[in-house]
Amino acid sequence: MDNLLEEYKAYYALRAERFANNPNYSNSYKAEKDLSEAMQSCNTLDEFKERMGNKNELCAIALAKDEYIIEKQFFEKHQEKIRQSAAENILAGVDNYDNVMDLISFITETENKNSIKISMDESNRMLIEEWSSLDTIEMFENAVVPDKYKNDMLNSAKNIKEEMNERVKSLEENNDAWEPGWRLQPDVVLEYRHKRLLPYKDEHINEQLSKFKSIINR
Amino acid sequence: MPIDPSMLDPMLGTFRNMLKEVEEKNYTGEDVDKLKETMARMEQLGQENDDLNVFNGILMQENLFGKFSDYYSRILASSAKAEGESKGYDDATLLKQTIDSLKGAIAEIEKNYEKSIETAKQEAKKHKTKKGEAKKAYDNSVEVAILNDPTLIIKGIQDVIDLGEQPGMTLPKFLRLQMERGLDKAMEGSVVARNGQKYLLDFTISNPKSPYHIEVDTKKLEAFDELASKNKFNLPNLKELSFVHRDIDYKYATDIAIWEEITRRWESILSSLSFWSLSYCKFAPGILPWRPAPDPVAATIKTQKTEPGLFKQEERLFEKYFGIKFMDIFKHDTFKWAVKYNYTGFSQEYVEFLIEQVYPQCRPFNDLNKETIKQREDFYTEGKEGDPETYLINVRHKNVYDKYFGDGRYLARFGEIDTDSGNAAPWNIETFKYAH
Repeated sequence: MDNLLEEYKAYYALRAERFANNPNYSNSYKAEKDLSEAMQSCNTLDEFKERMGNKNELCAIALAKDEYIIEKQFFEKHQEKIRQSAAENILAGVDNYDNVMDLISFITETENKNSIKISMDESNRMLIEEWSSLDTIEMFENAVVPDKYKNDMLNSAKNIKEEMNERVKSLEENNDAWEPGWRLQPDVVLEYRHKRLLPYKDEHINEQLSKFKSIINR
Repeated sequence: MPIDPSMLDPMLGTFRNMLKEVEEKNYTGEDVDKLKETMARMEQLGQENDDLNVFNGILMQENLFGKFSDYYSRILASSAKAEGESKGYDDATLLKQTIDSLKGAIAEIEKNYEKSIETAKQEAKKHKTKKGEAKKAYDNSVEVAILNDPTLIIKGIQDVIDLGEQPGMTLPKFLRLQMERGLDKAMEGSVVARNGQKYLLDFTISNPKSPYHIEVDTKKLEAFDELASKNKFNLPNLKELSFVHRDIDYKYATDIAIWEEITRRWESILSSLSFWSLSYCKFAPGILPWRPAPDPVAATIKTQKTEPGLFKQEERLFEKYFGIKFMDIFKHDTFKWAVKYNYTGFSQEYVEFLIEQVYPQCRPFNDLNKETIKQREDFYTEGKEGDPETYLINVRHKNVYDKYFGDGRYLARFGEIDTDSGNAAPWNIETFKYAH
């Protein structure tokens, strides 16, 4: 048993050492060090059982904390405020837990709720998908063609507008199952996390957004 | 009306099996009751809704999958804890249990590996030629076998098992040595992750959509090595690595979107000129897209009369958004890139014809002159519209494909590469004066 005690001391010391000098894992380092120190101060293995308390669980909680801090910083940097909110909510609540199973439940539930918010938020990117159709409408409405074909051109533009409205209706019906009462908010696309995906200048995005809103009556 | 069992059963099957396992082991307690309630709620929703989207939406809103997994984990954890407490500390038994579970993991990986190959073979049999033979192109069992090859993962786990079975080994020593030697990370699949990244990079380099795509995959591989070099055990933390990789994707997303949109627009502009000029050919009413029209001749005339107006709008929008005029296309990096990698679809002489003959005439209320129509017909009938080296895309792909899946594998699966891409001369960007 004496040998086992020494081997456990070496094991716990190394566990802490894994996180040394890594600024991303400072909470883990501290928690693992606490656990290791408890181990190092023991003269028997039975003693460790008492001194360990919930320190092992606190290591797992610290690891979750470190990794959600990394996630929060990442989404902050990229102005992903909806995705960031899962990490924020988890970090705000993580210290209330001293039991890993309860923490896992809390994290799963928070992530789950947020994943619905992310889907709903990203549905507001509809302008990105509709950009090409908006251009085609503009082309049909402005093309210089013989009088004989003018009505054909205008009818084509009208059909595209009707299809666009159908797609909005279908999206809202679909999303209602995930967030009752969900309505498309076209202006949300102007927020950085969505706008960065558009290969266009702000002036063009604003112009196209106005056209889109006018067609879908928003 | 309930959801069709063919869709519901695969979704709920795993959860039903987990519940069955709990019942067979006679576990009891509050978590077991809640597990049963959650399963009953999922089954109830499956019977009450006929729309899969609504069903999924409610499952997510009520967090039923999450709750089920939570109760299940609690049941297993409390069972394991109770078992451990009743027996007291027994190092040899704990070590053996750990080793046995690793052996079980290897057996499971091997079983799944064989199953994935068998599934690929069965899937291939569903696609047959008119003669009833299996279509080779659908048989990807060799690729599945290589891409999912578990040798490295199994080696990682086996190394850990070997360590645990050394004479005189104890559980704490085993756990410490695993970490010291980086075996725990190898077992997580770090080596496999690097190989996967290298595989992606090699395929990207063979036919890159843009220079940014090469940069993205190169930087991802470099990030792996950089994080590994900073780590005491020379293996990266996979969580940290995933954020670095996502950071790279974010950094390049806008540049890639601009590159792809510019490319898409000039491709469309060249296609419009090609389409408009084709509509004047004497055989146009007999070919697509005009042939199926109620009056094919009238349909070609409509194209002739309306396409220039639409083309001018297309040209205007391109300049408005990106400041690129028609003649700027050919000096643009996206165009030169497309020529280099055989993506333009058009031959050099045909693009020169579109620039010099068709473009100046593509104006509203203007028709293509007879001489140009004759030239256009010749391009079509002589097979000189297309880039004659388009097949090089497949050759480059084949070279990397065979490197990973074995010499001759591309040929066995997809057949000989068709090198007959038309009769035009190959591209030479040096002699293409509009690029300079």
